[in-house]
Amino acid sequence: MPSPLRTALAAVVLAAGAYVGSKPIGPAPALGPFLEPARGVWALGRTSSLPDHSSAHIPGLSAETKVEYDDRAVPHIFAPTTGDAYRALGYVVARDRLFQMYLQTMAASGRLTEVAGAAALPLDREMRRLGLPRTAERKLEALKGTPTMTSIEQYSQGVNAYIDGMAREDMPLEFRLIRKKPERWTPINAMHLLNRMGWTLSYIIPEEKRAAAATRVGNAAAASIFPDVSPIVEPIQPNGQKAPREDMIAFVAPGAPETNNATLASLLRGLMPARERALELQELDASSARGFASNNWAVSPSRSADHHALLAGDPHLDLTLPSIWYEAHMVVPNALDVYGVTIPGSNEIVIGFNRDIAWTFTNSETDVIDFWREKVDDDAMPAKYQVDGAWRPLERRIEQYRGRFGEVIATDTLLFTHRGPMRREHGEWISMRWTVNEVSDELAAFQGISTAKNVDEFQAAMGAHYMAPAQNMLVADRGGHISIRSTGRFPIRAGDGSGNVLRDGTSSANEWKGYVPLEQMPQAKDPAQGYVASANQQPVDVKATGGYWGGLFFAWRALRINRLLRADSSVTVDAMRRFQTDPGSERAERFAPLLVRVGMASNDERSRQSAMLLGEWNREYTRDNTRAVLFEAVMRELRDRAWDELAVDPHGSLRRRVATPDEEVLWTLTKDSSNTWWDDRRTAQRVERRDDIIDAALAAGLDSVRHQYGEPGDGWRWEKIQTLSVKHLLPIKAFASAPVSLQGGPSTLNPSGGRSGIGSSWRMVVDLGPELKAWGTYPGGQSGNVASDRYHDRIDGWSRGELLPLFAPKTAAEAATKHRSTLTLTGGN
Amino acid sequence: MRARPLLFVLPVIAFALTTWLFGWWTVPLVAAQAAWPAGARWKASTLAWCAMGAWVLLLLWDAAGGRLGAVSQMVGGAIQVPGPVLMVVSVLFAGLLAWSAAAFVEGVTRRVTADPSLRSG
Repeated sequence: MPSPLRTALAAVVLAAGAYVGSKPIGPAPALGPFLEPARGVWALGRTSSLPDHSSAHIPGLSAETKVEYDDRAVPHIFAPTTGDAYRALGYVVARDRLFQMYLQTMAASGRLTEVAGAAALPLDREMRRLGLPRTAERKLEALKGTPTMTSIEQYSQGVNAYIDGMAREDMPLEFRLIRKKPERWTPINAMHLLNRMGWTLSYIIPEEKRAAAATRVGNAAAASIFPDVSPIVEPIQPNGQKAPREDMIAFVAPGAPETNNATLASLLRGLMPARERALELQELDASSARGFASNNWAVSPSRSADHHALLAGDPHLDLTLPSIWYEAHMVVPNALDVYGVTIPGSNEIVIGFNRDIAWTFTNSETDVIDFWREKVDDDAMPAKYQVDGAWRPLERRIEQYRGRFGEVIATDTLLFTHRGPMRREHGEWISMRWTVNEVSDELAAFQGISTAKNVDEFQAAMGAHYMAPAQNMLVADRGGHISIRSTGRFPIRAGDGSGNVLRDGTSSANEWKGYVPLEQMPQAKDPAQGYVASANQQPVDVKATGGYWGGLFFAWRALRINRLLRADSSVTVDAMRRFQTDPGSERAERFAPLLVRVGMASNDERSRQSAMLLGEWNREYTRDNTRAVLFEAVMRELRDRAWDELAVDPHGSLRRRVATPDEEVLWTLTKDSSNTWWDDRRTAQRVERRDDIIDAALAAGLDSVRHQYGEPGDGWRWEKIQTLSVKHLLPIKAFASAPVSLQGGPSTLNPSGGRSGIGSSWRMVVDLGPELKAWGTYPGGQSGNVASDRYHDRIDGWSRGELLPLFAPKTAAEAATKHRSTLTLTGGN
Repeated sequence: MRARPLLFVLPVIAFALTTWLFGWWTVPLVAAQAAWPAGARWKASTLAWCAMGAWVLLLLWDAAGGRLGAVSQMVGGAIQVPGPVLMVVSVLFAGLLAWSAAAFVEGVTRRVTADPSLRSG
């Protein structure tokens, strides 16, 4: 007979097993459903591959719809109606990216606390205080009864059909780990996701840097080192010049700190995206912290080898796994045939091509946010604000933040003026107006361009509907035309038109006066130079056109691509591909010779050695080069020393600054070797000049590289230094792809890598010949299933700069020739 | 009689089938049922082996998709336990559940049948 002890032990083990099997302990999920084979995590081993054939039911689908996945796992949707194509798209995207759709919607709607608890509260507050969830509601309300609304609902039906029919074993691993279930998909999610993209791309506050600098050196000096207009000019809208123009800046010597600017500086700093603040704390300068570096260009038939128009696109965004993009192709006979990438959760192809045109975007980086100082009736609990002597009621909105189990963990009362959200800073009430918070219908624009036949139809559709975030929209057609336009809402401001001031909210005279009309937006069609290009540079030559565009512009990459295109009058598809990862740097081409020249004349042995080593560099950021690391270290030291007046702590580290001027400004400063800005404030007895500072930077840069990487040699190889980690949306190391080594560096056309986590998100080259041909790739894979062989299968090729041919079959039968999997969707109720 | 393969095959099928149909919680139920009443043909240890065998079979089925190694690596990485260890833990979990349920039922029922006072209530 079994002993009582054995029975008792069995009871304890059974109780413990039942407990850990059914109850989550700490962050660990309940082990029973998690570990069981057949339905638990192990089942993902069976379900992570696409089956040869499968079928599903989507309520509302009008007739059978075929989806053929090709050998790159791209779904080609062949639907009888456009509505069915949207339903099918919703289904296939959810099938591959359900967790991403869920998490990104939670982030965009300020609900991350429901996933991550109170730790995510600052991120959620950021979204809600900017008014983004409110904007999503207002946008959706305005869409009622429109074709856009219909298409969003159709897409949602597809997503929900997948969620409803999803077997337990198909539940993505991430949901199991965080112990959540997917929510039903609702149309407002599309609005949230588009808002999120608007926040990512157009939440740019140039006032912040200038105001912060003014607290150290005064307004006039700050304005001179943070100019509205880039000193190096090669704009998107060609200005007729055959080379970039370098304008001199009238540098104003550092003056007394402007204490009145503290409020604005502090407010704007508080408004900066949390991530950028975090990156700046890691001592990254502002331009690296932002790090977006999109490029696009197109060449006319007259400059292409095969006499077709060619187009290249390369938007740089957060690199994550799963990728921000999902590749898809939709075909509806006689109605739609569009291929490209879509944002999971949004129902349109954002960047891609149809049979006649191809298009791509870069971010305009313009200033589309302004601030007003408001007068309120009660400083502590305002209910009204004043405009032109009359009191207007404030809109009050209660925002509740919930924890993982639905409990309320925080509540905010948000206030809105007619301009937008209002918040208190240093005892003042400041409201904000931002184009992303205005009601708009971008999806109608994407719907329009998907069937456009030529560049004019494309620009007309975009011009009619697209508002924010403003983009440099590049398009080419099979007729050989190329066109670019910075499209979106650009506010017309009162007074001198500057967006760099805090305005008085009590006067309606300070309101935005409207938006820049379409014909005045930066643009070009078939210019005489035979190509158009954009790389987040200043869109127009302001000296010639006037106007304020503000923003955060980058010149070096634009200079590079223009140089490459000017030098090649017979561009091939392969050259377009090579340009995308070109290792050359216009920044290095300018700074390196100066550094070498100054260093070689130095009395300091270390400076001379540093200069000698830099002199051996071909100024290219190839993987195997061993000098780029030294150049970057010297540049870091040079920035520290040149902008010592902006240090957070004048007696501490020079690397932490309240703001860092762009290197285009630094380059301009080098042309004035005795400018006061070169003086090192720490040496009261001596006045330093440019060459003294460069001399010191060369020596310190060499010391720092030696200290970190040893003596010159293999340890200095760029591929060992500039690596990238493509992280999963959840901070789980095992799901990341790292380290990925790359060709390219700061200010090259491929500046991916480093700590910013930003890089080339969708490279595409299109040859618009009689039969359109396209190539592309992105760093990730089609599947969001971490165990799938399609999870990050494209990263290796992407890191080598390879593009894959994009297969765009016209019929399901043609698609079947590259068959990997077939999904048959049926409808009915 | 206990050596007959059928005695192993039947519980293995029962464990596998009920796990597949209803979930992990059926393992102790099936084990308890098999150990009931006293004098049943299956010992607790036998049932533990059978439950583990059933889950191994189901894992092999999962492995047919060819990606079980990747799943194991990812899941293990996520919870910072080597993937193969986690797989062994899964199988042991089934074994422990089966053994403990069967041993508990075995102990209780034998006490009841052996003690006339307990039988009469």
